[in-house]
Amino acid sequence: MTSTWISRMIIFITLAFLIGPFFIIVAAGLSAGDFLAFPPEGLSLKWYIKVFEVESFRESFALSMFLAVFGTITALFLGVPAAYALSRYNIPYGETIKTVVAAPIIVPGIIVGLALLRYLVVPLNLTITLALFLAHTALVLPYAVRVVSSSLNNLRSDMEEAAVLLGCSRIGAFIRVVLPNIQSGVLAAFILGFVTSFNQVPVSLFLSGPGVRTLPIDMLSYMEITYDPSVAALSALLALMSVIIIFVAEKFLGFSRYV
Amino acid sequence: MSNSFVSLQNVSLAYGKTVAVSNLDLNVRKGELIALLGPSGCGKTTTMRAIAGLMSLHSGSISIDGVDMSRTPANKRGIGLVFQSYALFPHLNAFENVAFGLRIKKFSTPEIATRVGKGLTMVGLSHLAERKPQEMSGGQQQRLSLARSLVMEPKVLLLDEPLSNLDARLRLEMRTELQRVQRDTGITMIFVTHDQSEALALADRIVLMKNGVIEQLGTPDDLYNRPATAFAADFYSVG
Repeated sequence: MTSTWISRMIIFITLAFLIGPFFIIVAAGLSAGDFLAFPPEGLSLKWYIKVFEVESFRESFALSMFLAVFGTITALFLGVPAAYALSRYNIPYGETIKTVVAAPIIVPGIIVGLALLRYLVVPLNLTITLALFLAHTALVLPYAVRVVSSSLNNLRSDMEEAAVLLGCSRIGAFIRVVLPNIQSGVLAAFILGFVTSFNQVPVSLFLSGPGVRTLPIDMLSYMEITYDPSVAALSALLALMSVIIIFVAEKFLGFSRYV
Repeated sequence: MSNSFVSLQNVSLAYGKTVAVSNLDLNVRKGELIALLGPSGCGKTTTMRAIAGLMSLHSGSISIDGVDMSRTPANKRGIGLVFQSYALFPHLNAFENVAFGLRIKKFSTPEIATRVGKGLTMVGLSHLAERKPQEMSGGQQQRLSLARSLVMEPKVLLLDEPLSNLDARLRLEMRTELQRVQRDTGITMIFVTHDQSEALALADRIVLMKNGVIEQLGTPDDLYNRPATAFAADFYSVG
């Protein structure tokens, strides 16, 4: 009996730490007061409404959306063929390539951000938007390669040979047989990439500049000046967005199989 | 041999530096049913893949119906292959699996419908046209895979261990089925097997292979009653 009680406690504490902050943020955003505080002073929706009225939030939201969508699509255009080549052909130094591709997951974002700024953005004089776009593509690429690789590994290669013997070219077999059978893996990679890019902080912190910021960076700098509950309200909305995306993905794709 | 339809001359095959088949000569007559028989690692599957064009020749040449095919890519050879794992397309239903090659060859829609209908009827699957392969039994998948190759009217049909994934009862049924299809279509068939009784029961002639060379080539009767080597005799005594 005691062991059941202890394991229940552990589960409860784990959930409290995982989900607790989410409730605190939702509640803090509902405050009627003017400062970020918990428990909230009174109840009101005014900060949830204010989020949509702050112009810089609207701009940075649009930028973050742009980076998450197009950065991930670009990463998939690079990552799907890369994953295919790595899983189908005996490429020299294939394992090394896999490690290098996975580097942005292993190396801390601060270092990636600093290195990109110092050795790519400054010497080449890239615009902020372009630098952010390249960085987010690079950050999402490892996820694209990994998730697509795992669904390619489940696909037998003799299916492509069968297609070739029925008259397909190699590329034709890839388009007609491989792609349709890995499409849920590609979609899963897109969602994972989107969420990763959208919530990315350390790299964007280095690369953001005057007037061009991703949403998380914009929220940080907003908080440095204005300590009101709107940031809590915005965080709650973003968390809700992620939850909905993952929930839908799990329901329709069995997302957890790929990650 | 002047009447040979599929001809392998002095063919050597290698994986990197490992030689799998060396200096192989083989002549198959039109409409013949040939078995490539031997233990695993003897080079029989490698030889079949080379005929299909899935593997390039280290040396020698392969010709079909008098035309040199040594450098022709696999998708232009007009050869059918029934894979051991069937290699059906899981995203397409039975009809579309069979129609796949016909669509690549740009046949008209009514022509495709006719041919697929004929193909499915030939293997007794016309009632399952809407089924996905993974909703079919092993025997049905096998027959679907056969139909998918047959509708292309290939010059040669290759079969990789066509019966090995089936249970004993289905294996007998499929044997009869293969012989019937061969009789009806008159198609030249080459099948790979490690099962001597299968080769004896099905083939017109048997190519017994060992370590990448032909150990003996002859009719089932030849091989059974007049084994050329101790290996051949030993291989048959098991069955």
